[in-house]
This record gives sequence, structure tokens and C-alpha cells, in this order.
Amino acid sequence: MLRYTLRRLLIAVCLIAAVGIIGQLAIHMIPGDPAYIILGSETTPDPKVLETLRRDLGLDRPITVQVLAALWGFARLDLGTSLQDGRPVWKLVEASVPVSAVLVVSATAFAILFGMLFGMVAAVRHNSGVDWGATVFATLGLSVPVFVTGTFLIYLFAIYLEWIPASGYVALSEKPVDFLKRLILPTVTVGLAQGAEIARMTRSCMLETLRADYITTARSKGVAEPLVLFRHALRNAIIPVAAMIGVQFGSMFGRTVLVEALFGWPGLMSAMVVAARFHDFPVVRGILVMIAAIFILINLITDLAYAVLDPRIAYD
Amino acid sequence: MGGEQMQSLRRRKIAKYLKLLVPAGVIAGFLLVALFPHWFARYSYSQMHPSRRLEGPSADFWFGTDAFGRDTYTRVIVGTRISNGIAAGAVAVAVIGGVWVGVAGGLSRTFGFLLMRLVDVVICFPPIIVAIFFMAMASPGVVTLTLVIGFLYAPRMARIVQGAVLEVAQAAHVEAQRALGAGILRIVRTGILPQILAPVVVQATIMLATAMLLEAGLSFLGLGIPPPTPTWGQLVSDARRTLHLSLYLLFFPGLALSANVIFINLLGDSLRDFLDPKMRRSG
Repeated sequence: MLRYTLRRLLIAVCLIAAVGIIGQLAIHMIPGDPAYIILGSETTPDPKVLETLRRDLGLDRPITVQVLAALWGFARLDLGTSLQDGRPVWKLVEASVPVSAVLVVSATAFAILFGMLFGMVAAVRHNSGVDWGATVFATLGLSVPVFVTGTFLIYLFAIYLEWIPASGYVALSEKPVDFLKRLILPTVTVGLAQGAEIARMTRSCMLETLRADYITTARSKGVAEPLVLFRHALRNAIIPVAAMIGVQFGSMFGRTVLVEALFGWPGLMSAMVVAARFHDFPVVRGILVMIAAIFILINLITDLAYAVLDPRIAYD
Repeated sequence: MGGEQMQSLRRRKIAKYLKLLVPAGVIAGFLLVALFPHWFARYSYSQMHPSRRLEGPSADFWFGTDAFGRDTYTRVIVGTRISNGIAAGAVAVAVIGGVWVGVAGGLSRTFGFLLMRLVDVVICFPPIIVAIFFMAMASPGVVTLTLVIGFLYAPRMARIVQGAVLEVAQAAHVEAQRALGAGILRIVRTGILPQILAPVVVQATIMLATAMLLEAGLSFLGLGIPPPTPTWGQLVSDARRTLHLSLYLLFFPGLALSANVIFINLLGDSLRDFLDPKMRRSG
């Protein structure tokens, strides 16, 4: 088990390093002069200014030196400095990660609760109105873009009903009630889309499980229906759903980008978007490496968790 | 078989064909608009009518007007071309890139193994974040966006193709070709490529939907095609500013985008049922 953990840890570190390398190389892969693009192609910038910018970005050094310098920086948690305000990227990351984390955690919790409940009900009332509604809902969840549903929810709850503020973020420590109010819409926006996928998976897993022999046995033994559902059927349906949630992290990050931008939350993803609009390359690269590192670490933890639950995996 | 069973079999067959034809028809409609927007547009997409701003649907402006008095219907029509064009272009890039890498990976054991590991890691990572990264360094434009999105989806296609090639390479007819001494290129061309056509087509259709959503998302964030060219993502983003004055500015572009994606997904689902029933998923 220890060997498995160490091996996965090593792979994870290598992957993060690879992302760092690609992040640095990428600026050379895109056609066009990076300094020129950053300064804007509307007017022709002064060649001396272009040269200074290239030197600041370290683009005039040989490629190997650039890559090694970048990797050495990442190891020391130095993700570069922003071109816009000269602040270290790490400071920006430090401030924005908690905000994104709040959204991701609450959206996942909502999606799991909502998705599993909906899926279970749809499976139990198979071929009924609820089941049909669940299928339609799942298709919509995958097709209607998250920023469209989000904007619509803003209209409904913030403008039409005026129940909650439309956007913006307030820290929990400052105004807890306001924080919660502003958490609702972003959570539901991301959670509905994720929940739709979970609901579909839960429904099909439950349908399969409910057909099994041991369920019929339990019922004929006289076990109460809720107990049959929750203790027997759900336990087995949960496994593929749990696996799916691990896989969903990628798409969750993607939705978080759009939702943070939509609701004006100062999270890690929207910081990347803002920096990208201004072609602030160090920030964008630094945040990409950070997101990749978080992503790889989450995958590592889930892999190790599976190995704990099913020790056969460790003997790969 | 009894008469009743024949009837229900026929009914199921009709339903199966309808499930393919209806989405195909709708998508054909979208493509028609995308190819010939000037047949459908009523004004120029940048033409302003300052006295008629933020109106609801009317005889003059079927979808209403925006904050500058521009006809929303025309802008949605023009947006169709961008969304479908970029999605189709990106998928074409992904197919061209992915098929060759996938075939190579399927046929060579070492390369295939490496490819599988690498691609499996890359595939899970959210493409929108990588797209943002690339668009931060590039100047925005149709070609750049198409290439970036296509390049992002090529690994997924390569993975599917590799799996399909691995399956087909075991088949009897390939063995027969090898026994007859056919060269590898001929085997690929005549024995393998026709067999992988089905999964590639299905996957390409599914990718069309996600590519369209990715382009719309990037446009929404302001990292896609820049104004004044109207794209659906941009229209939704603009709608936010005047949301309290007009819901229509959100409704129509949102509806167009969602409908386009839903029908592509439906088309992909029924294509899968048609071409490769083994791939059918439960639920």
C-alpha cells in the first residue's frame, strides 16, 4: 500500500511539473509575438517598450533556462508577478482559492443531495410523470449552458421576486446572513447541472439494483419499503455514483469558471478570466498551474481512497 | 409472429427513424441559417434604431431590440453562423488530428500504451480552463478559436479511435488481409478506417455540442470572438446589463443556443442507437 501511495505521489508531482513546463512553453507555441499581443495590437507599440516587456517576461533567455526558472519558481511557490499591478501571483491565489472552494463544496453537496433524491424518486416511480420529468431535466441539465440558467435564476429570484441580491461576494466572517444569501444562486446554478448528471446515474443504477433477487427476497420477508430502498438498494447504487462524482470534478471546475464570472465572485477561476482578458500572462500561467495542481491532488486523493476501499487496486 | 407483435415492432421502428429524422431536420435548419444568414436576417446586425431601444417582440423586430436599438432576431441569426461554424470547424480539426493519432496508437503497442496513459490524464481536465489559458496569449479570431477548441478535443477523439482500432484490429478480415500480405497502409485504408467510421461519427456529433457550449462560454467570458460580431454567448452576457429592463435579450439567444445543443445531443443519441447499438448506455 505504501509503495502504491509513493508511486502515485511521484506521478502526481511529475504531472504538475509537466503542466508547469507546458505552461511556460505554450507562450512560444502560439503564433504571434507575445509581447505585441499583451500590449495590444490596436496601436503599434514602441519597439523599446516591447523589448523591455520581453525581458521582464524572461522571453529573451534560452528556452531551457526559461523552463527551469519557471519550475524552480513553482517549487518555491513563486508563481510570478502580475503584469498589471506587479503583485505576486501567489498572493492573488491565496486570496481567491477560499472563495472558489466555498462554491465548489456547497455546489457538490447540493448536487449530491438533490441528484440522488431526484434519481431515487424517479427510479421508484418508474415510467411515471416524475420519471419522465427526471429524464427531461437531465437532458436539459446537460444541454442548457450554465450561464444561461444562472442568468435566468438571477432574473427570477433577484429581479422579479427580489428575494436575494443578484451578485457579488461577501465573506462569511463579515456578514454571515448576507454571505448565505449570496451563496444560494451560484450553488443552485452549478448544483442543478451537476445534479442532473447524478440524478440520471442514480436512476439507472437504482433501476438495475431494484430488479435484483435480493431485493425481492427482502420484500417478501416483509421488510418495510423505505428500509428496502435505503438500506439495501441505495447502498449498492451508491458505488458507481461515487465514482461518477470523482470524474465530475473536471466539469465542475469548468462550470465554476462561468458561474464565478456570472455572479461576480472573486474566485480563482474568475481571477484567471480577468487576467486573460488583459493578456496578463504570468497570472494566467500561475493560476493554470495552481488549478492543475489542485486537480491532480484531488485525483490522487480519490485514487488513494478507492485503494483503501478496495485493496485489490493497490496490487496493480 | 402475431399481428399485434408485428404492429408494435413496426411502431418501434418508426419511432426509431423519427428519433433520427426530427433532430436531423432541426439541425439541418440551423445549418441552413448558418450558411445563408442573409436569407433570414431582416436588418444589418449593427444597425441601430435609437428610438426603439429595449423593446419586446413586435412586427418590426421579431425578438425585440437591445440597448442600442439593434434587432435581436438578426443578431441571433448571425450568431448561428458563428456558433455552428466554429463548432463544426473545431470538430473537423479534432477528427483529423485525433483519427491519425488514434490509429497509430491502436496499431503500435508501446506508443499506444503511452498514448493511453497520457490522454487519460489530459481528458479529465476541464477544457475551458486550458482554452482560457491559450486565448490569453493569442489574439482573438475565428481561426484561433477554432484551432484551440479543436486541439483541445483531439485527445478525446484519439482515445475513442484508439479503442475502436484495437477492437477492429482483432477482426477476421484484418487477419485475412495480413495473411494475404497487404501493406499496413492498405489495411488501414480498406480494413480499419471503414469500421471505425461509426464510433467516430457518433463521437464527432457529441463533440459538436460540447464544442458549441465551449465557444459560447468563452464568448460569454469575453474571450471568444470580439464585438461587434454577435455571438450567442456574447448576447447572453450583454443581456445581463439590462436584465431588469428586458428578459427577451436573455431569452432568445439562450433559447437558440440551448435548442441547437439539445438537438445535436438528440441526434448524437439516435445516431448511436442506429450505428452502434453495442454502445448504448443504460437509462
